[in-house]
This record gives sequence, C-alpha cells and structure tokens, in this order.
Amino acid sequence: MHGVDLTMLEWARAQFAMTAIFHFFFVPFTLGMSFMVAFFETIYVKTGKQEWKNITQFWQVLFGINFAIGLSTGIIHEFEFGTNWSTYSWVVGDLFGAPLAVEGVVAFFMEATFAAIAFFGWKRVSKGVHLMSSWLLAAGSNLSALWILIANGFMQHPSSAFYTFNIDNARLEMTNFLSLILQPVAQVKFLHVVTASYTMAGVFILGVSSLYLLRGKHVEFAKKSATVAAAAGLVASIAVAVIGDDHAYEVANTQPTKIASMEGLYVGEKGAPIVAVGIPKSHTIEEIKNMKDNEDSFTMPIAIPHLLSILGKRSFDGFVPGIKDLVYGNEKYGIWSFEKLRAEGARAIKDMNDYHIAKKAGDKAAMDAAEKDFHAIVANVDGVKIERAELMGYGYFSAEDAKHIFPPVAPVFYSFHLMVGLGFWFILLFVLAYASVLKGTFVNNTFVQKAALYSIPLPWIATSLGWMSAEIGRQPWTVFGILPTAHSVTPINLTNVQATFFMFMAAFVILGIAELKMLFTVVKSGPKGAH
Amino acid sequence: METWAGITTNETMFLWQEYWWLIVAVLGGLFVLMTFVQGGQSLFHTAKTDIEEKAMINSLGRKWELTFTTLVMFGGALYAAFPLFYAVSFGGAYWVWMLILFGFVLQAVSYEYINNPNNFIGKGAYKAFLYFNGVTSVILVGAAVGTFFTGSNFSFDPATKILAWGTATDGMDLRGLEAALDFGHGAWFNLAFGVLLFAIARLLGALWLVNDIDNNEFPELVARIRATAKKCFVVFLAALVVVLYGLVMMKGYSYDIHTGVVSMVEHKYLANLMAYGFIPLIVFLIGAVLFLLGIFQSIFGTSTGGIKLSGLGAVLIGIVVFAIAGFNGTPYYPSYADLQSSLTIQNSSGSLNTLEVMGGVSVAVPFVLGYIAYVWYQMKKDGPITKEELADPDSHAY
Amino acid sequence: MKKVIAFLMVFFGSFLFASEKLLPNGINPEAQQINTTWGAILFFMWPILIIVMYKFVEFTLRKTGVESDV
Repeated sequence: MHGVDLTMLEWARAQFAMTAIFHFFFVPFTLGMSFMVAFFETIYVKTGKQEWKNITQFWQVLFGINFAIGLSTGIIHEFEFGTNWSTYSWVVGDLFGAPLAVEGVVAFFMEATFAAIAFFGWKRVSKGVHLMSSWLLAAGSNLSALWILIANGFMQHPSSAFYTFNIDNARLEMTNFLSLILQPVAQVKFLHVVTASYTMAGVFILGVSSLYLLRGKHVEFAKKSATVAAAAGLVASIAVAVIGDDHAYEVANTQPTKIASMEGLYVGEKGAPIVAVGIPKSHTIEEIKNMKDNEDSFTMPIAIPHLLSILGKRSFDGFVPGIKDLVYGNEKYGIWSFEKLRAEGARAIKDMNDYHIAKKAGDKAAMDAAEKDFHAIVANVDGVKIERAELMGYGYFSAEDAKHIFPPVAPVFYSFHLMVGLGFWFILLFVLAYASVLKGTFVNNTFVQKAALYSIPLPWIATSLGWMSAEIGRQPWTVFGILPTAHSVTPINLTNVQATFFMFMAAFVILGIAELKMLFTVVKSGPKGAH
Repeated sequence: METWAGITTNETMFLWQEYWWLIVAVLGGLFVLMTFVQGGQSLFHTAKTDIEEKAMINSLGRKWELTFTTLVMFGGALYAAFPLFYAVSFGGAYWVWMLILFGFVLQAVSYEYINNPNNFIGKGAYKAFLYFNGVTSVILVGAAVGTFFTGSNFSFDPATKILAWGTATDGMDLRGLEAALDFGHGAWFNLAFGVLLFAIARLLGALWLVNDIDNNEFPELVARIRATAKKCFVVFLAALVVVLYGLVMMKGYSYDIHTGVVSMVEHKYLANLMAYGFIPLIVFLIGAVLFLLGIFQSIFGTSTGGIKLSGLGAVLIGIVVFAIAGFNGTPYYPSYADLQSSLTIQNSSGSLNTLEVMGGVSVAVPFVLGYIAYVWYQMKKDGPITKEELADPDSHAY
Repeated sequence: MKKVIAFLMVFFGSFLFASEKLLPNGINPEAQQINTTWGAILFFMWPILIIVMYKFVEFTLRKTGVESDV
C-alpha cells in the first residue's frame, strides 16, 4: 500500500491507542463529575446550607485535578490527526474536520470560559452566576464529547448520505452536514459515553464516601454524598445498559465485521445466539472458509439462543452475517466476497488514475469516461445504491489480506463481554446501594460499602474496554469500509514516530503518577482539608 | 507550466475561501493576544517571594485555558477549512508541531499541579514546564508562521496528494526543524519571526501582570516586571527590524488566481501590504502604534491599562500578518522544493458545502466572544488580585 | 409521562426496520439511509436524562430525610 512501512503503521497505531486510552481515563470522569458537582451546588443554592457548599467544593477539587489533564491530553489527538495521520486528514478532512471545528466553537470555549468562574469565582461572582457557570461548564464538557463522537460516528458508519467522492481531489466531500451530526450511530454513541461517565462519577463518589464510612470519618459528609451518588448512579447505570443495547443494534446493522468479532460469530445464522460466557477459538482463514456451522467456534460456551438476532436485528429469526459470510460472500443475502469487493475497489482506483492521466493529457473524453465508471452503480438493494467509488477502499488491499479484512476476534470479544459484565455489576451495585440508602442503613452496611469501595477502579476498566471494542473492532479501517488504516498514515520514517511515542509515554507516566498522588492526598485529607 | 490542481474559478467558492482565510487571520490575531499567558510564564523569575510567585501563577492560571482553546480553535478552523494544509504542514513539519504540542501538553497540567503538595516531581519541574511552553513553544509557533513567507520543503503526488517531505535537492530534511536551521531557505527570517512573537508575548505578559496584580500590595514585583519588559523591548525592536526588512525586501511567492501557476515575485509582501487600497498597511500601522502606546503607558509609564491598547494592537498586527500571507494571489504555505505544490487558499480548501456549513457555524463566534467578555468582566470587576484573595481558602487559589 | 411515552416510541420504533437483503459488504441497507429524526430524538434524551437524574436525586434526598429542604 503506497510503500507504507508496516512497522511504522503499527507504531503510529500504538501511539494513537496509548494517547487515546490515557486521554480516556480522564474524559469520562470529567463528563460525569462536572454534572455531579453541578448537582451538589444546586442543592447548596436551593437549601443555602454551608455543608452542601463544603461537599460541592470537595468534589470540585477532585474534579479540578482531573480536568486539566483531560484537556491537555485531548489536544494531542487534534495534532496527531495531522502529524501521524495526514493522508486520513486530507481524504476525510471535510467530514472529520468540520465537527472538530464546531466542537471548538460551541463546546471548548464554553468549557474553558466557565471553568474560570466555577473554579476561581466563588468569591468574585454572585451565587446565581456561579451556579450557572457550573452547569455551563458541565454542558460544555459534555457537548465536546458530542462533537468528537459525531466525528467518530462518521468513522464507524460513513454512510454515503454524507458525502460524494471527488475524483479530481481524491477525497470525500461533504454533502449533508445535518445527516452527519444527527446520524443515530453518533447520537447513540454519545448517549452511551455520557451515561457511562455519569455511572463512573457515581461509583467514584459512592466509593470514596464508603471509604470514609468504613473508617468512621466525615460521616455526615459521606452520608449526604452517598445518597446523591446512589440515586444518580442508579439512573445512569440503567441508562447505560438500555442505550448500550441500542448501540449494539446500530453496530450490528452498520459494522457487520465488528459485531461478528464481538460475538465470535464465524458462520452467519438466522436466529443467532449470544455466547454470554466462553472462550472463542482462533481459526486460520482456511479453517473459516471450510466451517459449516459454529460448532467449533468456542470452548465451553454458555449460549443464549436467538438473542443476537433479537439484539442485532430486532427480530427473532433475523440473519446476522458471520466472518465467513463477510470474507467469502453469501449470495442468499446479497453479501459479496472480499475478492469481488476488492476487484471493484481496484477498478475504482484504476479509474481514478486514468482520470488523472487523461487530465494531464488534456483528454476530456477519457476523463469523463473514467469519472463515469468511477461513479457507476454496482449494487442496488431495496433502492439503496452503491457506487463503485464507495468500494475503493477495498482496492488498496491485496488478495492475501482476506485474513485481515475483519478485526481480531479475541480482543474484541473479550473487551466487549467484560465491559457488558461490568455494566451489569454497576446496576447491581447501585440497586444494593440505593435500597440501603432508602432504608437508611447505608451508613452501617459495611458489605455494600466495601463493594462500592473496591468497585472504584472498575468504571475506568469498563470504559477503556468499551473504547477498545469500538476501535479495535473498526479495524482494518479508519473510516469503516472506505479508508484502510494502512492508507491513512503519514509517510514518515519509523524513528520519528517511535521517538514521539516514548516522549508521550514518559510524560504520561510522570503526569499519571502525579495525578494519582494528588487525588489520593485530597481523598485522604478529607473534606475539611479540601483546600 | 503544469500545475498540480485545477484552480476553481467558481466565484462563490472563492469568496468562501477568502472568508475562511479571514477567520483564520482573526483567530491568529486573537492567538497573538492570548500568548500573554505564555509571555507571563517567561517572567516567573521576577518573583522573589512565594506570595509574589503565587500572585503571578494565579493571575495567569485563570486565563491559560482560553489561550489553549484559542490554539485548538485555530487548528480546528484550519482543519475544517483548509484540510490540505493540515495534512501537509502537520504531517510534514512533524517535529515543529510535535514540540509545540508537547509544550502545551505540559503547560496544561502545570498550573493545577504546581502548588499542590505531593505533585511527584516537585514545583521546580512544573515551573520548568511553564518556561518551556512560554519560550520554546512560542518561538516555534513564530518560526512556523515564518515559513508561511519563506516556504517549506515538500511536494506531493498530484492525484492523491500523498505527501513527500524533504524533496528539495538543495534543502535539508529534518521534518520541519530545517525551518530554523536551513539558512539558505530563510531560517534567519523564521527565527527572527519566532523571537519577535516571543518578545510580543512577553511584553503582553508583562502588561497583563501589571494590570492584574494589585500594584499597591506588590510594588517591588511590578517594578521588576517593568524592568524586565524594558529589556525585552530592545529585543522586540531588533527582531522587528529583521522581520520587516525580510518582508519588504524578500522575493515572495505569488500565484495566478485563475490558472493557479505559482511564481516568485520581487517585493511580493510589500505589494500585499499596499494592495486593497493600502488597507493592510493602514491596519498594520494602527496596530503598531496602539501596541507601542500601550507599552509606553504601562511599561515605561506608571499606568496599568496598557494591556488594552497593546492587546488590540497585537490582534490587528496578527490579522495583517496572516492576511498578507494568504490574500492577493499569495500561496500561504509555499513550497521551495516544488513551487507548483505550494498551498493556496484556493487549492487547499474543503468543499464548497463544508465552507458554507462552517460559515453558518461561524455566526456563533460573536456570541462566544460575548460571553467570554461577560465572564472576563465578572472576574475582573472586584479589582486586581490581592494578598487577601490568595490566602482565602474559599477562593480556590492555585 | 410524556417522557415515558417518547422513550417507548423510540425504543419500539427501532424494531420496525429490519431487512433480509444486505449490501455487498454486509451493511443493512436501511442503515445507509440516515434517520435524522431518530437521531434528534436520541440527542434530546440527553438533557431529559440529566433532569431525570437530578430530580431523582432530590426525590431521594427528601424521601430519606437526608435533606428535606430541596
């Protein structure tokens, strides 16, 4: 692929994965804590009681330590799209850059401006202005998540409703911004991420409050905080699951290779089951080619019949394609083999080259012919037309890449299933916590307190796993079905990318330790030592 | 001569491209103003006591996010409106952008961490990060903008626009760092530009601190800041002379807006200053006068209000710099390796639809500026930072 | 109540689109046509969710007597 150094590609991917995961440690916490702080402050303003102000300020300090590092690791990605993924930035800059610019205008300024009041304005502005600032800070931070997830939604499901392929510039050009921002894939992603973030903030506050109760310190403070966290967390954790179900549905319909890997489905089935627990076996591409059914897909599976069809297709007997169908085709359902997709893609690439050769020669007729062939309709399913140009991405792969045209099963399967398991644990935790809060026994219920305390790291693990299943599951594409990852990267020598990789790693290790030390210090010294 | 991309002759498209370049110029101008935070960071050594240093950290620490966001916005606008620039410059001048980035990443955590007990690597380290950002990042940003005039070392495949960096036979390839080392290709100008931006940032930083810190409670600190700024003023003048000499005397890049053919033209940037009925020159002169007036008011004089005049002046100067780099048939990101690979606002922009949609979004900008001003006023209305406020646990001082 | 009805409509509404024939790369053809109404409804569930969360917090504070003045 254009002489891209594959080792360099792996390093560029590793760098992005590292910076994204590190960033994503702080983002959901910011998204969730900003609203929790706004909740506490609203209670303070409504009641006028100093103790609620102390509670607000304590959680705000923890939020503040985290806030800066979230911002600082965020800008890295904006730069990385250009430095490491310049081909990507040119080819899809129209669709990907626009949401990022809007993010800056409508979200980042709101976040940065009102953060100044929220953190430093306690004495300088009125109570009302301060409260408004806290809410606007929360809204701004969440809106920034909305816009980046709209951009990410495009990478996951780049429907031809958004763009046309411009043969002259060899890039995608936006045709419909409204569809791009309101596409369900993006919106459902946003809801899933923010509800997970609120769950994370709920678990954190509940866990830290439990720590104080277990030690018999700051009891009133902990009781109040835990009550708020249990109520908010209960709503949030249930919402994550409900939205998550719809998210999976969107994935099943827009990214068949991802859902097949997430569920370890090698051969497509009607009424496909979900393997809730099991060890997916890895198979070579030849083995997959010869598989007749899914008997040999798992070691010790515990399967729930029909569930995947119900979740993925909203139908008891809906057909969910497996990896074999997606690589070798399935005529009955109109799925083409990778070979056929690749042939059409290669032809689109040839059209593009012919067009530019003709352009150089000033041969208008040949240019038109190439462009016409480039945009020719190659499939029409229920009125949905597919242009040859839309399959161009497949043309960059070679025949041997059949084994790489879907994501690796094991990491996607495990990350997804562990995330779901953790999601159910959070619901259970909040049900237990909420029940004891209602009964008034939370203060003495050391079992729930311990459960909450030990659960503190789990939301971070769950959100990271979710991110991994979404982004590893998208491979081998940056823009699903359109732009291969290997064709997105900047042509640059390996050493440059390695050097920046280690630069960031060193910074992350140091800043990460500093961040944790400061968080622990504040938690240890408790609400009174909050300043 | 063959050009690599057809230049659109669509007038609507051209107007949108000019509109977007103007937005980029305005954001660039605002960024120059906001570098007062970085400039202020380069003045920490003027604080001799803990409370003085605390005052400086808190004064700048309430504003760093705005500078940071302006930078992000500047990048975002360029990404959406001129994606080919984003791909070529960031992907090509790799190390320049990575080092700028690194400086800002370190800065962003430093304010929150610096005065926090248990910050792991100690206060000194975070102070060093702030200096690094205040000096190196600013000089590099300036040098990067310098290459808008002197050119860069790249070319690419006309069909796919896949980049090739370092293709000039007589050039160096250091993935961007050649801009500061390759004197055959204008490194002297880029460096002078970097130093000039640093001096402007530092002067603005001094003006901001003089204004934002209570002069009665911190008289010695304010005096020391003024003294350092006076020395910096000399550096500013020296760098300015070099940059102005370069802009006036340099052979500049030029292109035909109808055919797209790029060529070298004597005194191009001087011509740009005098184009459009001398407007760029007039705005530049107004900006320069305002900038100097503010300095004479508050650095050489005793008033505290100089930041207002100088700040406005800096914005105007910044706008003019970007305007003469991209308007009037000027490729704003020229290539000395392959003239016809040079980027112009016409051949590097997003599609018409994207520019229009984003144009609609840009209507929100005055609204954003409005609430920034409101918040700024709210935070300033009770006067400058005092010792009492720094000691008050309720004000969440750094 | 309105919120509940809106939510149920959205949830069951999504059951309606299910197709047998798939696109060449396995994508559901219906998903290629962007349902912006559904997307907009999803977006507005966000502020609704925030309000529900906050109101539920207030309800709990009153119900448990932890803070009866909200």
